[in-house]
Amino acid sequence: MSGSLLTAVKAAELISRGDLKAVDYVSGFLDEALSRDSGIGAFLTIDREAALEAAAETDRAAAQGRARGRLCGVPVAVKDNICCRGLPATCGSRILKDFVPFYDACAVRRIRDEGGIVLGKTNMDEFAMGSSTENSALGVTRNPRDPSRVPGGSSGGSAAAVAAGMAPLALGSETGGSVRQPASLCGLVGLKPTYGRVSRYGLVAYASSLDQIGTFSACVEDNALIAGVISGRDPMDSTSSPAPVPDYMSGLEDSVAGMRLGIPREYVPEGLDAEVRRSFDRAVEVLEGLGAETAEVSLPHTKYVISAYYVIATAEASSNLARYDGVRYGLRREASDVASMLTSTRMDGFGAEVKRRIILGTFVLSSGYYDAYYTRALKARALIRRDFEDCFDRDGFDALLTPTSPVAAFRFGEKADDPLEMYLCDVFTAAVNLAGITALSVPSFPAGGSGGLPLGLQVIGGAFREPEVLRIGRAFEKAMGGRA
Amino acid sequence: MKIDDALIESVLRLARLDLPRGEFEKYKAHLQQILDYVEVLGELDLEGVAPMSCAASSPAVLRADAEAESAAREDVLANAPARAGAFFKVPRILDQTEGS
Repeated sequence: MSGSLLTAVKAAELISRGDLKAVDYVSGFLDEALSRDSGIGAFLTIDREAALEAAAETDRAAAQGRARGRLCGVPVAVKDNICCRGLPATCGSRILKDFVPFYDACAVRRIRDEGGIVLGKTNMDEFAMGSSTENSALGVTRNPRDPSRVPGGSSGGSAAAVAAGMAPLALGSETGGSVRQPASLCGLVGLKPTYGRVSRYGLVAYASSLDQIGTFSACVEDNALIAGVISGRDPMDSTSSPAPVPDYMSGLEDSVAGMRLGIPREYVPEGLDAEVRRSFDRAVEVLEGLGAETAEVSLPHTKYVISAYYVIATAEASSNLARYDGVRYGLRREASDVASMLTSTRMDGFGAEVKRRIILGTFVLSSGYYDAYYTRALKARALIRRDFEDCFDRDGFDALLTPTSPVAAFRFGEKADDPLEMYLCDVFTAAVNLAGITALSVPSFPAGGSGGLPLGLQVIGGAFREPEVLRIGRAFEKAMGGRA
Repeated sequence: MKIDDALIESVLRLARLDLPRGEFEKYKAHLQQILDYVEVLGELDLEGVAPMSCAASSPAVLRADAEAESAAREDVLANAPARAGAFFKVPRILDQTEGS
């Protein structure tokens, strides 16, 4: 049977009642991965045996009427920078190629506690630095919608796994758009939760003040399910919020009539790709047709977003990645003294983009340049956040609508030689990370009409407004003819 | 600002990094391009704006300082590139004369 015809919500319900065998459901995805992944490259590790064993255990429990959990028997693909006990966590890097963590990330533990099953680990741009997954040291990932094109990134493997029907759900991570952008390019739903909503315990750090685990699914309801499961306070992450997690599933079907949606004019600039603009304009009309009120708004500091983002992200990265020293884990190049061991380990272990970002980050934090670059970027960040607060708190907008990505899926190599052009892929997504708020990408009108490359609509909400952005995403999906 | 070779070399030393032979100029050009791009931050009037270093909407909450089980030593050492008994092993840090 093909599990991908069922929502994960429905599958969990059927499995817990014993009306669907978890073994059959999980096997469906594993078989798909076996037959298709050699041509896609979504997974770095497939944990077939353990996944089938966990499914069999679920079926035994169901037979005795004691199967439970919101993700009962549902497999989840996990980005390779999120720790799963006993499985490699390479971060797409040579420096961690043989690293096997001995503990589960908080998000993974919560998935298991709700009956979910880890299917395997997915490819990614090295240390989540990139927007195409081309920066992985461990292989190529292709876009299932068009294998001559990239799946986006950095969570490209997770997006490709779900888009190819090799997993119903996946975890990715976000620093500047690494869930929403691949969701847009692969035709999926992708959620970036509010900073602090999901524990970062067990997520390998890139830029700690921006990083957040996010979720991929084929439909909004499934995203609400898994996002609800992984959210909540965790004593192992001091930045995780103690605010109670609302039930993301209830209210999902409520009407959006009367909601006030802002359209930031800086996100539909002159020179925006014509297909992206056409898709976005039609998406706005759909939501207006559902009774939402729309109005143009301004986020005046948008032009500073990419600059502030790359200064802050690289500064934090240079500090976080100092831990890869060849001493406690990961690659080591032997040398006669410690300094040479460190330098040659890092020189051989890190790829070009990671080195570039460490160099930039070290520079902006170095004595004499710190205030001119780093402090300045942090102040710009405060202004960028204030722009959003003005829209949500002062002007009372429920959410903002923008295109998710300035382009549809591009071809391999198209942007690989120009780092700055690759950085501009984040131009509509990175402000949300800087401000620490939430946003959803939901499939919108494809480029060039039906059958064309996928494009996403981004719904941005204020801090902890996941229920609203999911509800808007669901109403839009339903109007587009998605899962009723 | 203009990047020169000495600046990159000093940053590489701070970052404990080296660049592949023959790629120095390419990295330099990329870094120059990115720094030129971020110059735009210079036009902002930031008088009186407090730097925002964290996105959390509530202050960090620390765990209670209570005794709890920690990771097993063998688990922690299992990924070590080199170990000696219960320790991580590294090349000699102090030379003989300094160490004595």
